[in-house]
Amino acid sequence: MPSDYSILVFTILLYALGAVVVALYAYGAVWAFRIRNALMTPLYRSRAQWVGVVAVFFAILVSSNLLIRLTAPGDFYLSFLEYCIVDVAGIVTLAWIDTTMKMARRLDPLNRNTFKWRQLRILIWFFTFVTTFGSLFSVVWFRANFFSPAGTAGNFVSGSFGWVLLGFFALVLSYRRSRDPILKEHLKWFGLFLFVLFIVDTVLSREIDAFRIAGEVLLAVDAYFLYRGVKSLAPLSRVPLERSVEPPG
Amino acid sequence: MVAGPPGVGKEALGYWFIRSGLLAGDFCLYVTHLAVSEVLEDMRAFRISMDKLPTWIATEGSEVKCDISDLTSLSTRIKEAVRTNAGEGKRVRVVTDILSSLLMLNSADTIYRFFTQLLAGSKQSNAVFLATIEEGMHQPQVLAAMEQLFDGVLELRLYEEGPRVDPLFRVRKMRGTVPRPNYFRYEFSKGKMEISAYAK
Repeated sequence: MPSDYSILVFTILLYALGAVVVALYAYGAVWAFRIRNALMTPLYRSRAQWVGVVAVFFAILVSSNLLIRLTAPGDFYLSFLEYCIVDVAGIVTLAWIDTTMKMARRLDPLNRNTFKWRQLRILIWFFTFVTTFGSLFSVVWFRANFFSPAGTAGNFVSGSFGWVLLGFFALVLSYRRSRDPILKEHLKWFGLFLFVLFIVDTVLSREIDAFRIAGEVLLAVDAYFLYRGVKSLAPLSRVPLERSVEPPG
Repeated sequence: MVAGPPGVGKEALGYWFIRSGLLAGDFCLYVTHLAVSEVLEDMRAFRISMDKLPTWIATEGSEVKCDISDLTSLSTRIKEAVRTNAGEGKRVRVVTDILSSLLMLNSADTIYRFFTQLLAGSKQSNAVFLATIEEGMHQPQVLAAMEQLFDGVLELRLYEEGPRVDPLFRVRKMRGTVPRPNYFRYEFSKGKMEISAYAK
């Protein structure tokens, strides 16, 4: 049995790491919206906006996870809220993938429809909404608890994130095809963000203390990847000092 | 030539150039590697209303197809459209977004020669040619070589200044004038482009 002291240290460590993760996601969101406001082309603005929304939702997801776990992990309604936040985070991530795929096609000199995305996206969006509502319905039906140590006990609650995996493969293919270094840089960080997210969500999802600490550390890495993805939305330059001021007249 | 990274609004300058040309009664040709519907969608998003439409050379939705893998036929089609309309006494404006795509598929030498011939033909017909190029996609020496082809070069970029990100432009080159090295802030709002002085 762990002593009270070790439990206290573990809890403080976990929440400190959680705070770092939330701060990193929030910082990424701020930059995404700054870049979004400076961009002019609607499709690029839309992509920057979705990246910002993803960062906001992951900040909410991590903070709500830690707060509910601390205060009322047995509460069904709070658990249901957490399921909803997870599903919305999956949907906005898919929206980010969707705009990125549209852009990849526009930037491709041969206009290639990678992964047949133009057609596939309609099906993916349809099934995303079906599985999201289905999973939320099953959560209510089986009264599944997000924070239960036993997990979801085999209930179908995967929600929207399963379809994000398909988008991930489309992004990988786009990365291999693209000749645009700016887009490739963004795709690289975006791919790493999704990859780490899947690791955290699958391998490290078990309710073991060591896994939870490792999960938070990996989420911090993930938030950093997201931030780098944000900064690679558009190359930012600095104005040379001697050329920055417009003389009167 | 309008140079800048993707998303800064280079193509919007082209749309305005086309729009003002159409209003003035000029012959306007838009050469794009996109579909006509995509360009129109973009124009609508920039709130640029077109009462009349330009003549298109596009990959989809136009009478004359834009096949960027066939440089010879592309050059012939553009020259033909320019020559025919210039012969009718109209002023001619050509806007294109294919420069970066062409550079991705061909060597810089090939594209340099292609544009040298194309621009020489356009100048003979007194046409004005506006091309956009993606900065950051090509080697600096390739960009510098392309700049040599054009009489004027506008640079659009996003500049990071502390917590702010500003879209700025400057005139990098303008034939017959000494360009002022100043930066200007710009934005597309309420269906127009607004330019203001920029102070750091």
